[in-house]
Amino acid sequence: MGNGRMNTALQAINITKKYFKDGKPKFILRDFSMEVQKGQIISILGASGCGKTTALNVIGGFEKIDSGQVLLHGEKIEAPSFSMIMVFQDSHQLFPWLDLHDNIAMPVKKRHKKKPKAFYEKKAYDMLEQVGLEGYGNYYPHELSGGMRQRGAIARALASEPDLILMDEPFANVDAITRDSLQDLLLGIWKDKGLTVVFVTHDIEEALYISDRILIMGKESGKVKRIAKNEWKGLRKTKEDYFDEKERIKNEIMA
Amino acid sequence: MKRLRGLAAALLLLALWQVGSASGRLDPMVFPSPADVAESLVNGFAEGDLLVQILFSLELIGKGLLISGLLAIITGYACMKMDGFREIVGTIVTLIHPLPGVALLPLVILWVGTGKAAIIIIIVHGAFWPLMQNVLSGIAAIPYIYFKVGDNYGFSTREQIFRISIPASAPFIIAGFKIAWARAWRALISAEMIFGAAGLAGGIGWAIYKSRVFMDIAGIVSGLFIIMLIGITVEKFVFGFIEKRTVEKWGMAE
Repeated sequence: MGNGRMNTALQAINITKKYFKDGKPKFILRDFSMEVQKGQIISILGASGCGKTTALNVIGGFEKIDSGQVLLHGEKIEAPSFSMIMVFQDSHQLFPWLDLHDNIAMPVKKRHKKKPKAFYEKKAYDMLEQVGLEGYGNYYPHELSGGMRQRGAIARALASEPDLILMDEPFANVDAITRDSLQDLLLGIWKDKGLTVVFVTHDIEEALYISDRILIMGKESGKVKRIAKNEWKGLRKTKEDYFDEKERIKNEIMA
Repeated sequence: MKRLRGLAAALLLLALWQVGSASGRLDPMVFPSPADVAESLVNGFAEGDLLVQILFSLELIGKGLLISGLLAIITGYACMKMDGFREIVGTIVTLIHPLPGVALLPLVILWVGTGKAAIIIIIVHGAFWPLMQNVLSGIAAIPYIYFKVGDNYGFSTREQIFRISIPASAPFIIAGFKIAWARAWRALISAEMIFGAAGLAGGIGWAIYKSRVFMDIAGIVSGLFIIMLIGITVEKFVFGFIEKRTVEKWGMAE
Protein backbone atom coordinates (compact mmCIF):
# COMPACT_ATOMS: atom_id res chain seq x y z
CA MET A 1 0.00 0.00 0.00
CA GLY A 2 1.96 3.00 -1.25
CA ASN A 3 4.92 4.18 0.75
CA GLY A 4 4.23 2.49 4.03
CA ARG A 5 3.87 3.68 7.57
CA MET A 6 4.19 7.39 6.93
CA ASN A 7 0.77 7.51 5.34
CA THR A 8 -1.11 5.35 7.80
CA ALA A 9 -3.78 7.44 9.51
CA LEU A 10 -5.62 4.83 11.49
CA GLN A 11 -4.91 1.35 12.77
CA ALA A 12 -7.36 -0.93 14.48
CA ILE A 13 -5.48 -3.87 15.95
CA ASN A 14 -7.04 -7.18 17.02
CA ILE A 15 -10.20 -5.67 18.42
CA THR A 16 -12.51 -7.97 20.29
CA LYS A 17 -15.84 -7.02 21.72
CA LYS A 18 -18.21 -9.60 23.14
CA TYR A 19 -21.19 -10.11 25.37
CA PHE A 20 -22.49 -13.15 27.19
CA LYS A 21 -25.74 -14.85 26.37
CA ASP A 22 -26.79 -17.86 28.46
CA GLY A 23 -23.24 -18.09 29.78
CA LYS A 24 -21.72 -18.32 26.31
CA PRO A 25 -19.62 -15.55 24.78
CA LYS A 26 -21.04 -13.93 21.65
CA PHE A 27 -18.62 -11.95 19.56
CA ILE A 28 -19.67 -8.64 18.05
CA LEU A 29 -16.12 -8.07 16.85
CA ARG A 30 -13.47 -10.78 16.77
CA ASP A 31 -9.83 -10.03 15.99
CA PHE A 32 -10.98 -7.09 13.93
CA SER A 33 -8.01 -5.35 12.34
CA MET A 34 -7.78 -2.71 9.67
CA GLU A 35 -5.60 0.14 8.48
CA VAL A 36 -6.65 3.35 6.86
CA GLN A 37 -4.22 5.26 4.68
CA LYS A 38 -4.32 9.02 4.75
CA GLY A 39 -6.40 10.41 1.91
CA GLN A 40 -8.34 7.21 1.29
CA ILE A 41 -11.96 6.27 1.57
CA ILE A 42 -12.37 2.82 3.03
CA SER A 43 -15.75 1.15 3.31
CA ILE A 44 -16.77 -1.38 5.89
CA LEU A 45 -19.33 -3.48 4.05
CA GLY A 46 -21.58 -6.08 5.58
CA ALA A 47 -25.13 -7.23 6.25
CA SER A 48 -27.10 -5.81 9.16
CA GLY A 49 -26.02 -7.26 12.46
CA CYS A 50 -22.49 -8.05 11.26
CA GLY A 51 -20.88 -5.60 13.67
CA LYS A 52 -19.91 -2.88 11.18
CA THR A 53 -21.54 -0.02 13.09
CA THR A 54 -19.96 -1.27 16.31
CA ALA A 55 -16.60 -1.31 14.56
CA LEU A 56 -17.09 2.33 13.55
CA ASN A 57 -18.18 3.31 17.08
CA VAL A 58 -15.11 1.60 18.49
CA ILE A 59 -12.83 3.40 16.04
CA GLY A 60 -14.38 6.73 17.04
CA GLY A 61 -13.95 6.02 20.75
CA PHE A 62 -17.71 5.85 21.40
CA GLU A 63 -17.68 2.26 22.64
CA LYS A 64 -15.42 0.31 24.98
CA ILE A 65 -13.72 -2.89 23.84
CA ASP A 66 -12.60 -6.08 25.57
CA SER A 67 -9.20 -6.26 23.91
CA GLY A 68 -7.17 -4.72 21.14
CA GLN A 69 -6.51 -1.07 20.40
CA VAL A 70 -7.23 1.78 18.03
CA LEU A 71 -4.39 4.09 17.04
CA LEU A 72 -4.77 7.37 15.23
CA HIS A 73 -1.39 8.54 13.95
CA GLY A 74 0.08 6.15 16.50
CA GLU A 75 -1.88 7.55 19.45
CA LYS A 76 -4.31 5.43 21.36
CA ILE A 77 -7.98 6.39 21.02
CA GLU A 78 -10.12 5.95 24.12
CA ALA A 79 -12.80 8.62 23.81
CA PRO A 80 -14.52 10.60 21.06
CA SER A 81 -12.79 13.81 20.01
CA PHE A 82 -12.46 16.38 17.26
CA SER A 83 -9.83 14.23 15.55
CA MET A 84 -12.52 11.85 14.27
CA ILE A 85 -15.97 13.23 13.57
CA MET A 86 -18.93 10.94 13.00
CA VAL A 87 -21.68 11.53 10.46
CA PHE A 88 -24.64 9.41 11.51
CA GLN A 89 -27.37 7.69 9.57
CA ASP A 90 -30.03 9.58 11.55
CA SER A 91 -31.08 12.63 9.57
CA HIS A 92 -31.91 14.37 12.84
CA GLN A 93 -28.32 14.71 13.94
CA LEU A 94 -28.17 18.48 13.47
CA PHE A 95 -29.40 20.40 16.49
CA PRO A 96 -32.97 21.51 15.66
CA TRP A 97 -32.62 24.58 17.88
CA LEU A 98 -29.80 26.02 15.79
CA ASP A 99 -30.16 27.19 12.22
CA LEU A 100 -27.95 25.53 9.63
CA HIS A 101 -25.33 28.25 9.82
CA ASP A 102 -25.07 28.00 13.62
CA ASN A 103 -24.97 24.19 13.48
CA ILE A 104 -21.97 24.40 11.17
CA ALA A 105 -20.30 27.28 13.01
CA MET A 106 -20.60 25.39 16.32
CA PRO A 107 -17.49 23.21 15.93
CA VAL A 108 -15.54 26.12 14.44
CA LYS A 109 -16.28 28.24 17.52
CA LYS A 110 -15.27 25.39 19.78
CA ARG A 111 -12.02 24.72 18.00
CA HIS A 112 -11.01 28.34 17.49
CA LYS A 113 -12.24 30.04 20.64
CA LYS A 114 -10.25 33.24 20.20
CA LYS A 115 -10.93 33.91 16.56
CA PRO A 116 -13.27 36.81 15.63
CA LYS A 117 -16.87 36.29 14.60
CA ALA A 118 -16.06 36.94 10.95
CA PHE A 119 -13.86 33.85 11.01
CA TYR A 120 -16.75 31.56 11.98
CA GLU A 121 -19.09 33.23 9.53
CA LYS A 122 -16.66 32.78 6.66
CA LYS A 123 -15.94 29.17 7.54
CA ALA A 124 -19.63 28.29 7.91
CA TYR A 125 -20.39 30.01 4.61
CA ASP A 126 -17.56 28.15 2.85
CA MET A 127 -18.76 24.81 4.19
CA LEU A 128 -22.34 25.52 3.11
CA GLU A 129 -21.07 26.29 -0.35
CA GLN A 130 -18.93 23.14 -0.36
CA VAL A 131 -21.98 20.95 0.23
CA GLY A 132 -24.23 22.90 -2.14
CA LEU A 133 -26.37 24.58 0.50
CA GLU A 134 -25.42 28.21 -0.05
CA GLY A 135 -28.37 30.42 0.79
CA TYR A 136 -29.77 27.99 3.36
CA GLY A 137 -27.76 29.22 6.34
CA ASN A 138 -30.73 30.72 8.13
CA TYR A 139 -32.94 27.65 7.63
CA TYR A 140 -33.69 25.44 10.60
CA PRO A 141 -33.13 21.69 10.14
CA HIS A 142 -36.86 20.94 10.16
CA GLU A 143 -37.27 23.23 7.14
CA LEU A 144 -34.85 21.11 5.10
CA SER A 145 -35.26 17.75 3.37
CA GLY A 146 -33.53 14.63 4.68
CA GLY A 147 -30.87 14.84 1.99
CA MET A 148 -30.19 18.50 2.74
CA ARG A 149 -29.87 17.72 6.43
CA GLN A 150 -27.28 15.04 5.64
CA ARG A 151 -25.40 17.60 3.54
CA GLY A 152 -25.55 19.87 6.58
CA ALA A 153 -24.17 17.12 8.79
CA ILE A 154 -21.30 16.61 6.34
CA ALA A 155 -20.65 20.36 6.36
CA ARG A 156 -20.58 20.35 10.16
CA ALA A 157 -18.08 17.47 10.11
CA LEU A 158 -15.89 19.24 7.52
CA ALA A 159 -16.00 22.46 9.54
CA SER A 160 -14.46 20.57 12.44
CA GLU A 161 -11.33 19.85 10.38
CA PRO A 162 -10.97 16.26 11.66
CA ASP A 163 -8.13 13.93 10.70
CA LEU A 164 -10.73 11.34 9.80
CA ILE A 165 -14.43 11.39 9.02
CA LEU A 166 -16.47 8.42 10.16
CA MET A 167 -19.68 7.81 8.25
CA ASP A 168 -22.29 5.38 9.48
CA GLU A 169 -24.61 4.65 6.54
CA PRO A 170 -25.16 8.39 6.14
CA PHE A 171 -27.12 8.03 2.89
CA ALA A 172 -29.27 5.05 3.86
CA ASN A 173 -32.40 7.06 4.64
CA VAL A 174 -32.71 9.15 1.50
CA ASP A 175 -34.23 8.31 -1.87
CA ALA A 176 -32.09 6.73 -4.61
CA ILE A 177 -31.60 9.90 -6.66
CA THR A 178 -30.58 11.92 -3.63
CA ARG A 179 -28.29 9.10 -2.57
CA ASP A 180 -26.44 9.21 -5.89
CA SER A 181 -25.96 12.94 -5.63
CA LEU A 182 -24.73 12.66 -2.03
CA GLN A 183 -22.22 10.02 -3.10
CA ASP A 184 -21.04 12.34 -5.87
CA LEU A 185 -20.81 15.15 -3.34
CA LEU A 186 -18.62 13.02 -1.08
CA LEU A 187 -16.31 12.07 -3.95
CA GLY A 188 -16.18 15.69 -5.08
CA ILE A 189 -15.11 16.91 -1.65
CA TRP A 190 -12.66 14.03 -1.38
CA LYS A 191 -10.99 15.08 -4.65
CA ASP A 192 -11.00 18.71 -3.57
CA LYS A 193 -9.72 18.30 -0.03
CA GLY A 194 -8.16 14.86 0.21
CA LEU A 195 -10.38 13.53 2.99
CA THR A 196 -9.72 10.36 4.92
CA VAL A 197 -12.97 8.50 5.46
CA VAL A 198 -14.17 5.28 7.05
CA PHE A 199 -17.58 4.63 5.55
CA VAL A 200 -19.95 1.97 6.85
CA THR A 201 -22.57 0.64 4.44
CA HIS A 202 -24.61 -2.42 3.57
CA ASP A 203 -25.01 -1.21 -0.03
CA ILE A 204 -22.52 -3.00 -2.31
CA GLU A 205 -22.93 -0.55 -5.18
CA GLU A 206 -22.34 2.35 -2.82
CA ALA A 207 -19.16 0.73 -1.52
CA LEU A 208 -17.95 0.06 -5.07
CA TYR A 209 -18.67 3.64 -6.14
CA ILE A 210 -17.01 5.57 -3.34
CA SER A 211 -14.21 3.39 -1.93
CA ASP A 212 -10.50 3.10 -2.47
CA ARG A 213 -10.62 -0.08 -0.46
CA ILE A 214 -13.44 -2.25 0.79
CA LEU A 215 -13.43 -4.23 4.01
CA ILE A 216 -15.92 -7.07 3.89
CA MET A 217 -17.36 -8.43 7.10
CA GLY A 218 -18.99 -11.83 7.41
CA LYS A 219 -22.45 -12.38 8.77
CA GLU A 220 -22.55 -12.74 12.56
CA SER A 221 -18.92 -13.74 13.03
CA GLY A 222 -17.61 -10.26 13.86
CA LYS A 223 -14.61 -11.08 11.67
CA VAL A 224 -13.04 -9.33 8.74
CA LYS A 225 -13.39 -11.56 5.68
CA ARG A 226 -11.35 -9.61 3.22
CA ILE A 227 -9.86 -6.18 2.64
CA ALA A 228 -9.40 -5.45 -1.02
CA LYS A 229 -8.45 -2.62 -3.30
CA ASN A 230 -11.49 -1.43 -5.23
CA GLU A 231 -11.25 -0.92 -9.00
CA TRP A 232 -14.60 0.72 -9.50
CA LYS A 233 -14.30 3.94 -7.55
CA GLY A 234 -16.19 6.74 -9.32
CA LEU A 235 -17.66 4.35 -11.87
CA ARG A 236 -21.21 3.12 -12.07
CA LYS A 237 -21.97 -0.29 -13.66
CA THR A 238 -19.64 0.18 -16.57
CA LYS A 239 -18.28 -3.22 -17.43
CA GLU A 240 -19.52 -6.79 -17.36
CA ASP A 241 -17.16 -7.77 -14.56
CA TYR A 242 -18.73 -5.11 -12.34
CA PHE A 243 -21.67 -7.43 -11.90
CA ASP A 244 -19.37 -10.38 -11.30
CA GLU A 245 -17.64 -8.43 -8.56
CA LYS A 246 -20.95 -7.40 -7.06
CA GLU A 247 -22.19 -10.98 -7.01
CA ARG A 248 -18.94 -12.21 -5.50
CA ILE A 249 -19.10 -9.67 -2.66
CA LYS A 250 -22.75 -10.48 -2.04
CA ASN A 251 -21.93 -14.15 -1.57
CA GLU A 252 -19.14 -13.28 0.84
CA ILE A 253 -21.35 -11.02 2.89
CA MET A 254 -24.13 -13.57 3.21
CA ALA A 255 -21.91 -16.60 3.79
CA MET B 1 -61.63 33.36 12.87
CA LYS B 2 -61.32 31.39 16.11
CA ARG B 3 -60.15 34.52 17.87
CA LEU B 4 -63.11 36.48 16.55
CA ARG B 5 -65.52 33.86 17.80
CA GLY B 6 -63.85 33.88 21.22
CA LEU B 7 -64.12 37.65 21.33
CA ALA B 8 -67.76 37.48 20.23
CA ALA B 9 -68.52 35.02 23.04
CA ALA B 10 -66.90 37.34 25.59
CA LEU B 11 -68.90 40.32 24.28
CA LEU B 12 -72.10 38.29 24.39
CA LEU B 13 -71.49 37.40 28.03
CA LEU B 14 -70.81 41.04 28.80
CA ALA B 15 -74.03 42.09 27.02
CA LEU B 16 -76.11 39.51 28.91
CA TRP B 17 -74.59 40.71 32.15
CA GLN B 18 -75.37 44.34 31.30
CA VAL B 19 -78.95 43.45 30.36
CA GLY B 20 -79.37 41.44 33.57
CA SER B 21 -78.10 44.29 35.71
CA ALA B 22 -80.00 47.05 33.87
CA SER B 23 -83.28 45.13 34.01
CA GLY B 24 -82.90 44.77 37.77
CA ARG B 25 -82.85 40.96 37.64
CA LEU B 26 -79.33 40.96 39.07
CA ASP B 27 -79.43 42.42 42.57
CA PRO B 28 -76.41 44.78 42.85
CA MET B 29 -75.90 43.50 46.42
CA VAL B 30 -75.45 40.00 45.02
CA PHE B 31 -73.64 40.73 41.77
CA PRO B 32 -72.51 44.21 40.64
CA SER B 33 -73.21 45.73 37.24
CA PRO B 34 -70.47 46.00 34.60
CA ALA B 35 -70.37 49.74 35.16
CA ASP B 36 -69.76 49.31 38.90
CA VAL B 37 -66.94 46.86 38.25
CA ALA B 38 -65.40 49.15 35.63
CA GLU B 39 -65.60 52.07 38.05
CA SER B 40 -64.01 50.00 40.79
CA LEU B 41 -61.18 48.99 38.47
CA VAL B 42 -60.59 52.57 37.33
CA ASN B 43 -60.57 53.85 40.91
CA GLY B 44 -58.33 51.02 42.00
CA PHE B 45 -55.75 51.88 39.37
CA ALA B 46 -56.16 55.64 39.88
CA GLU B 47 -55.48 55.34 43.60
CA GLY B 48 -52.57 53.07 42.85
CA ASP B 49 -53.63 50.36 45.30
CA LEU B 50 -54.55 47.86 42.64
CA LEU B 51 -51.24 48.19 40.82
CA VAL B 52 -49.30 47.76 44.06
CA GLN B 53 -51.35 44.65 44.86
CA ILE B 54 -50.83 43.17 41.40
CA LEU B 55 -47.10 43.79 41.57
CA PHE B 56 -46.99 42.29 45.05
CA SER B 57 -48.63 39.10 43.78
CA LEU B 58 -46.51 38.96 40.63
CA GLU B 59 -43.34 39.40 42.64
CA LEU B 60 -44.22 36.43 44.84
CA ILE B 61 -45.18 34.26 41.92
CA GLY B 62 -42.06 35.29 40.01
CA LYS B 63 -39.85 34.30 42.91
CA GLY B 64 -41.75 31.05 43.39
CA LEU B 65 -41.40 30.09 39.72
CA LEU B 66 -37.74 31.07 39.66
CA ILE B 67 -36.99 28.88 42.66
CA SER B 68 -39.02 26.01 41.16
CA GLY B 69 -37.24 26.36 37.82
CA LEU B 70 -33.77 26.33 39.35
CA LEU B 71 -34.64 23.36 41.57
CA ALA B 72 -36.04 21.47 38.58
CA ILE B 73 -32.94 22.12 36.46
CA ILE B 74 -30.57 21.04 39.23
CA THR B 75 -32.64 17.96 40.08
CA GLY B 76 -33.06 17.13 36.39
CA TYR B 77 -29.32 17.28 35.89
CA ALA B 78 -28.70 15.07 38.93
CA CYS B 79 -31.19 12.58 37.47
CA MET B 80 -29.19 12.44 34.25
CA LYS B 81 -25.87 11.96 36.01
CA MET B 82 -26.72 9.55 38.83
CA ASP B 83 -28.03 6.08 38.10
CA GLY B 84 -31.26 5.37 39.93
CA PHE B 85 -31.80 8.96 41.08
CA ARG B 86 -34.46 9.52 38.42
CA GLU B 87 -36.60 6.72 39.86
CA ILE B 88 -36.26 8.15 43.37
CA VAL B 89 -37.27 11.62 42.21
CA GLY B 90 -40.09 10.11 40.15
CA THR B 91 -41.48 8.38 43.23
CA ILE B 92 -41.25 11.54 45.35
CA VAL B 93 -43.00 13.55 42.64
CA THR B 94 -45.78 10.97 42.39
CA LEU B 95 -46.27 10.98 46.17
CA ILE B 96 -46.23 14.71 46.86
CA HIS B 97 -47.65 16.11 43.61
CA PRO B 98 -51.33 15.38 44.49
CA LEU B 99 -51.14 17.15 47.89
CA PRO B 100 -53.14 20.39 47.74
CA GLY B 101 -51.01 23.33 48.85
CA VAL B 102 -53.68 24.43 51.31
CA ALA B 103 -53.29 21.11 53.13
CA LEU B 104 -49.66 21.99 53.78
CA LEU B 105 -50.49 25.35 55.36
CA PRO B 106 -50.44 24.28 59.02
CA LEU B 107 -47.03 22.71 58.53
CA VAL B 108 -45.69 25.72 56.66
CA ILE B 109 -47.00 28.11 59.31
CA LEU B 110 -45.21 26.13 61.99
CA TRP B 111 -42.01 26.24 59.97
CA VAL B 112 -41.83 29.85 58.82
CA GLY B 113 -44.87 31.72 60.16
CA THR B 114 -47.30 33.54 57.90
CA GLY B 115 -45.11 35.98 55.94
CA LYS B 116 -44.00 36.13 52.31
CA ALA B 117 -41.79 33.08 52.81
CA ALA B 118 -44.82 30.94 53.64
CA ILE B 119 -46.63 32.07 50.48
CA ILE B 120 -43.55 31.36 48.38
CA ILE B 121 -43.28 27.87 49.83
CA ILE B 122 -46.90 27.20 48.91
CA ILE B 123 -46.26 28.54 45.39
CA VAL B 124 -43.16 26.41 44.99
CA HIS B 125 -45.13 23.38 46.13
CA GLY B 126 -47.79 24.14 43.51
CA ALA B 127 -45.28 24.77 40.72
CA PHE B 128 -42.30 22.53 41.33
CA TRP B 129 -43.88 19.06 41.20
CA PRO B 130 -45.69 19.35 37.85
CA LEU B 131 -42.63 21.10 36.43
CA MET B 132 -40.36 18.33 37.70
CA GLN B 133 -42.65 15.70 36.24
CA ASN B 134 -42.36 17.37 32.83
CA VAL B 135 -38.61 17.79 33.14
CA LEU B 136 -38.29 14.05 33.84
CA SER B 137 -40.38 13.20 30.77
CA GLY B 138 -38.36 15.72 28.77
CA ILE B 139 -35.05 14.17 29.77
CA ALA B 140 -36.33 10.71 28.88
CA ALA B 141 -37.35 12.00 25.45
CA ILE B 142 -33.99 13.56 24.45
CA PRO B 143 -32.65 11.62 21.45
CA TYR B 144 -29.41 9.96 22.50
CA ILE B 145 -27.74 11.08 19.29
CA TYR B 146 -27.49 14.68 20.56
CA PHE B 147 -25.30 13.57 23.45
CA LYS B 148 -23.22 11.47 21.10
CA VAL B 149 -22.71 14.54 18.91
CA GLY B 150 -21.90 16.55 22.05
CA ASP B 151 -19.25 14.00 23.07
CA ASN B 152 -17.79 14.05 19.59
CA TYR B 153 -17.49 17.86 19.59
CA GLY B 154 -16.00 18.03 23.08
CA PHE B 155 -18.94 19.55 24.97
CA SER B 156 -18.28 20.31 28.63
CA THR B 157 -20.77 19.40 31.35
CA ARG B 158 -22.15 22.94 31.27
CA GLU B 159 -22.59 22.74 27.50
CA GLN B 160 -24.27 19.35 27.79
CA ILE B 161 -26.85 21.01 30.07
CA PHE B 162 -27.37 24.39 28.45
CA ARG B 163 -26.65 23.60 24.82
CA ILE B 164 -28.20 20.15 24.56
CA SER B 165 -30.40 19.01 27.45
CA ILE B 166 -32.39 22.21 27.96
CA PRO B 167 -33.11 23.08 24.31
CA ALA B 168 -33.71 19.41 23.46
CA SER B 169 -36.34 19.10 26.18
CA ALA B 170 -37.74 22.62 25.66
CA PRO B 171 -41.23 21.46 24.61
CA PHE B 172 -41.59 19.59 27.90
CA ILE B 173 -40.03 22.37 29.96
CA ILE B 174 -42.39 24.97 28.47
CA ALA B 175 -45.42 22.71 28.95
CA GLY B 176 -44.24 22.16 32.53
CA PHE B 177 -43.95 25.89 33.14
CA LYS B 178 -47.46 26.42 31.78
CA ILE B 179 -48.91 23.99 34.30
CA ALA B 180 -46.59 25.34 36.97
CA TRP B 181 -47.79 28.88 36.27
CA ALA B 182 -51.47 27.90 36.53
CA ARG B 183 -50.91 25.96 39.75
CA ALA B 184 -48.73 28.69 41.23
CA TRP B 185 -51.34 31.34 40.45
CA ARG B 186 -54.05 29.31 42.23
CA ALA B 187 -51.75 28.56 45.16
CA LEU B 188 -50.85 32.22 45.48
CA ILE B 189 -54.44 33.46 45.62
CA SER B 190 -55.46 30.83 48.21
CA ALA B 191 -52.42 31.48 50.36
CA GLU B 192 -52.96 35.25 50.27
CA MET B 193 -56.57 34.89 51.32
CA ILE B 194 -55.64 32.73 54.26
CA PHE B 195 -52.51 34.55 55.40
CA GLY B 196 -53.77 38.06 54.72
CA ALA B 197 -51.28 40.85 54.30
CA ALA B 198 -47.62 40.28 54.91
CA GLY B 199 -46.57 43.44 56.68
CA LEU B 200 -48.30 46.49 55.22
CA ALA B 201 -48.74 45.32 51.67
CA GLY B 202 -50.89 42.52 50.34
CA GLY B 203 -51.54 40.96 46.99
CA ILE B 204 -54.56 40.65 44.78
CA GLY B 205 -55.94 37.66 46.71
CA TRP B 206 -55.76 39.67 49.89
CA ALA B 207 -57.48 42.60 48.16
CA ILE B 208 -60.45 40.42 47.25
CA TYR B 209 -60.68 39.09 50.75
CA LYS B 210 -60.45 42.58 52.23
CA SER B 211 -63.25 43.81 49.93
CA ARG B 212 -65.58 41.31 51.52
CA VAL B 213 -65.05 42.87 54.93
CA PHE B 214 -66.16 46.24 53.51
CA MET B 215 -69.07 44.68 51.57
CA ASP B 216 -67.33 46.08 48.47
CA ILE B 217 -68.89 43.64 46.04
CA ALA B 218 -67.66 45.52 42.95
CA GLY B 219 -64.17 45.35 44.43
CA ILE B 220 -64.44 41.58 44.81
CA VAL B 221 -65.55 41.10 41.22
CA SER B 222 -62.94 43.49 39.86
CA GLY B 223 -60.32 41.44 41.72
CA LEU B 224 -61.62 38.32 40.00
CA PHE B 225 -61.37 40.11 36.68
CA ILE B 226 -57.76 41.01 37.33
CA ILE B 227 -56.97 37.39 38.14
CA MET B 228 -58.60 36.23 34.92
CA LEU B 229 -56.88 38.89 32.84
CA ILE B 230 -53.43 38.15 34.21
CA GLY B 231 -53.99 34.42 33.75
CA ILE B 232 -55.01 34.83 30.12
CA THR B 233 -52.28 37.37 29.37
CA VAL B 234 -49.52 35.16 30.69
CA GLU B 235 -50.85 32.04 29.03
CA LYS B 236 -51.55 33.51 25.61
CA PHE B 237 -48.98 36.22 25.32
CA VAL B 238 -46.02 35.35 27.52
CA PHE B 239 -46.03 31.61 26.82
CA GLY B 240 -47.27 32.17 23.28
CA PHE B 241 -44.35 34.52 22.67
CA ILE B 242 -41.83 32.09 24.15
CA GLU B 243 -43.20 29.19 22.10
CA LYS B 244 -43.08 31.18 18.89
CA ARG B 245 -39.47 32.13 19.55
CA THR B 246 -38.38 28.61 20.47
CA VAL B 247 -40.14 25.29 19.89
CA GLU B 248 -42.33 26.51 17.04
CA LYS B 249 -39.39 28.06 15.25
CA TRP B 250 -37.35 24.90 15.79
CA GLY B 251 -40.11 22.59 14.54
CA MET B 252 -40.25 20.93 17.94
CA ALA B 253 -43.77 21.97 19.00
CA GLU B 254 -46.01 19.06 19.93
